[in-house]
Amino acid sequence: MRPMSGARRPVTFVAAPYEATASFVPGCAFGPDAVAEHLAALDTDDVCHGVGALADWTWVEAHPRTLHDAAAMRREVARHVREALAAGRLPLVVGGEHTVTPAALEAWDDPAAVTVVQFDAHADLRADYEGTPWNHACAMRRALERGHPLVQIGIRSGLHEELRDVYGPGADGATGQLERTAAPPARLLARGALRSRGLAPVMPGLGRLLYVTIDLDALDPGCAPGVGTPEPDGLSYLELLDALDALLDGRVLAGADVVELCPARDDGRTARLAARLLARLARHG
Amino acid sequence: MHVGQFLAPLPSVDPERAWAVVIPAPFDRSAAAAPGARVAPAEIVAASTQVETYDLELGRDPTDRGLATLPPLEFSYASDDEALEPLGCAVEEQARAGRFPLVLGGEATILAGTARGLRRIGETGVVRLEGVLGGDDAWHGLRAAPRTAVRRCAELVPVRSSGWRLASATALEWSTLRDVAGPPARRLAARPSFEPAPPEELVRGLPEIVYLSLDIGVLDPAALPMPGNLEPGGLAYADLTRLLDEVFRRRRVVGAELTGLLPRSGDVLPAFVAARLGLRILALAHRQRFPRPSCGE
Ligand SMILES: [Mn+2]
Repeated sequence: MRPMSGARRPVTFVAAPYEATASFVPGCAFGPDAVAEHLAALDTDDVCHGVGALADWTWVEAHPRTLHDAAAMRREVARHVREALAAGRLPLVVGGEHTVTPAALEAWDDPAAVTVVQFDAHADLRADYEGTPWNHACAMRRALERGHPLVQIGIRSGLHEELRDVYGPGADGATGQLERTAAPPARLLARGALRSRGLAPVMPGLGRLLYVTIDLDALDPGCAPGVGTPEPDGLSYLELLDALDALLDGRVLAGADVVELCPARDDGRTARLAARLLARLARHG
Repeated sequence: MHVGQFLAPLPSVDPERAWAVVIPAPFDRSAAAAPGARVAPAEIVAASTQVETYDLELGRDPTDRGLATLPPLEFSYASDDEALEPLGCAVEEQARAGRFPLVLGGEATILAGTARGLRRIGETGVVRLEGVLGGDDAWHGLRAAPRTAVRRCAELVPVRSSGWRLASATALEWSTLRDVAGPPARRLAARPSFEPAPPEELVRGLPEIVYLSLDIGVLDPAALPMPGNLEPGGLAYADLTRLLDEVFRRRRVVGAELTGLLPRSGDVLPAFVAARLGLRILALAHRQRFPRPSCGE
């Protein structure tokens, strides 16, 4: 463990407190506020998490917390991410519900070149849900539709129909591992398969440029209780760090987000974890 | 102040006739992340009355052969580690009498006082497990604080600190230079597709006789949801008990302290975790002192 060198690119945190469809337990609109508080509380000279890399960062609010219009949210989040990229900065989006991910991805004009790596309890591949295609249960389906290659890790919940839609009529969740070869390609590594097979099954699905989206319910509710739709048997924080290190080794981080923080169900540990994750991702600027 | 008896065997046991003594040390200068350490010994003892005295996994009951609880130590407001002298004296007295002291803190700072007693005993090292590497020279002007405890200890006796997940650059530099830094949590926590650091690294370079200093903040918030214990990436309970077992297999442990508990209002879990750890440490020491060859130990 060595002191980390500074980030190659400065960071722009894009706060996207969007909450229109993640309403099982409300409150993810307050996620960015909680993350900001904990980012400020991180030990600046801590050498274990590479927080020293956060020397140069700015925080922008993409839209007000009261915004519930998906089109306006998409426009504003994409605009702020595009501005960060144009300024040579690494965009790190702070949700808000998972719907902000496809919005952020609209900032890239060449989706085939940007592989989306999703850590999540849920597949989020539904065509639409509760009457809208801009529901958080549809986030990765929208990413695929844009043309992004997709790698899904730690998944432990999904509808057979959405898996068949994306991975073909023979898709069987029990295999723990799904692959779609048609463009854009996609791979799914279920939680149990990650445990027993490691990351090897998804590594061939990675391009050189990655967009990493972390739905905090990918983590175990023990280490990240502050989410709206908790699912048992998630990843530990260190398991996630191991995976990020392996995925980003030799690849470039185009951008990333941490979403679905629900402060109403948190005692501070999930917000702190989210802040640590963002600080860690910032090292890959 | 009376805090009752750890593991509550009544009537109370005469310390002179006990193999181990529990020493409440409610040292609290609020140098920790949050106040509350002063009530921790009483909370741990209260929780311990609801814990079975038999450690089922080790097959040991530390109240066999006598377990006593002393009245809580009193600390003056003398500056810095001087204030901790009563603890150094208590540990020294019990260890010299051949009894196993289990100190219930109190801030993680108390190691600075323990080390004063260990220094006088001589030839004793310290195995430290903690959430934040205590290798800083000063903390907000204090010589004695959780973040400086290992540094103060190292000035008196050999110490090795492992399991931490936060460290300042200066603490890490000093600890690495002096070979005080053992493996951090990230190298010790078990997970799939990962080979943890060899347990020998926890005791490397230490004498054959050691004292165990356990700051409970070494545990992950998932195992120990507690004020001031928000940092992710700590040890699971099973990681910790495995490491404790490995330490007892490698060194003769003459005493231990359990520090850093900050009770959470309305939640008994942190105190229960601490009480269970106290039971486990006593059971490990019992197994070491009173081997049963017939059981393959
Ligand atoms: Mn999701």
